[in-house]
Amino acid sequence: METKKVIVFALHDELESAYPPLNISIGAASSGADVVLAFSRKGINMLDPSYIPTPSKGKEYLANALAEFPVPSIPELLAIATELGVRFVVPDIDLTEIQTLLDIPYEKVPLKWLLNEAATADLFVHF
Amino acid sequence: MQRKKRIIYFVTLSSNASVVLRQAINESLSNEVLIFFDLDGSRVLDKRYLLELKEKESDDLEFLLQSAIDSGVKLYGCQMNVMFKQGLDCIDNVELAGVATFLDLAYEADAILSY
Repeated sequence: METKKVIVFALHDELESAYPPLNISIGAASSGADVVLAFSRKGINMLDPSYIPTPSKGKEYLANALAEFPVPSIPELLAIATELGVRFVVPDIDLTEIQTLLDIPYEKVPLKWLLNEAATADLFVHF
Repeated sequence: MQRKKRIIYFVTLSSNASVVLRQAINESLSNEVLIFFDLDGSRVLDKRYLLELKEKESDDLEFLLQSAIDSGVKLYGCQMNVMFKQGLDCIDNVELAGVATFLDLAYEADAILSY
């Protein structure tokens, strides 16, 4: 069977936007797809060691709802994704002001490369 | 005959549901439209939540959901619901789905839009 190519963009850092790109990446990787997860714009904050996922204004109950269920944390999901072979990338244009990122393997790539990959992917999705 | 395009909406915030449903109903005139409701977004599919809205005399959402269903829009609720301890008590014609279902449908989609 042909291996699917999946490109996922994580563009936001609010709690409700942080989980879907990781869940989709993990789901796709666990079914055998080649997955690139790109952290761009505010999404790159998810790689900051001090990142705490916070819901959008007015949706604070989401944090409690997630805490009450056995939901993995963002760092735990990043670790699962790493184990499954998800390729983390960060467009070079987003790295200018970022000082420290989590100690996980990621590649700095030109945005143009990323957009070309997205154009040829079986699935391109952004959150 | 030209193949209908498949459009998938991914909704994680209940506050975006009305906008998406309106857009989906419009798009369903010429396209196949699917909406996945995840996290806070999945609340809008729950009968108890809709009843709360009704008590506040805001039944727009219920009307939009029914209109979407009547227009052939397919609605999916998150299987891994975290909003209700007792589980989602979904309105009729909603299917519970997980990542695998989303991926199967998304691979054949022409557009995926997240809200």
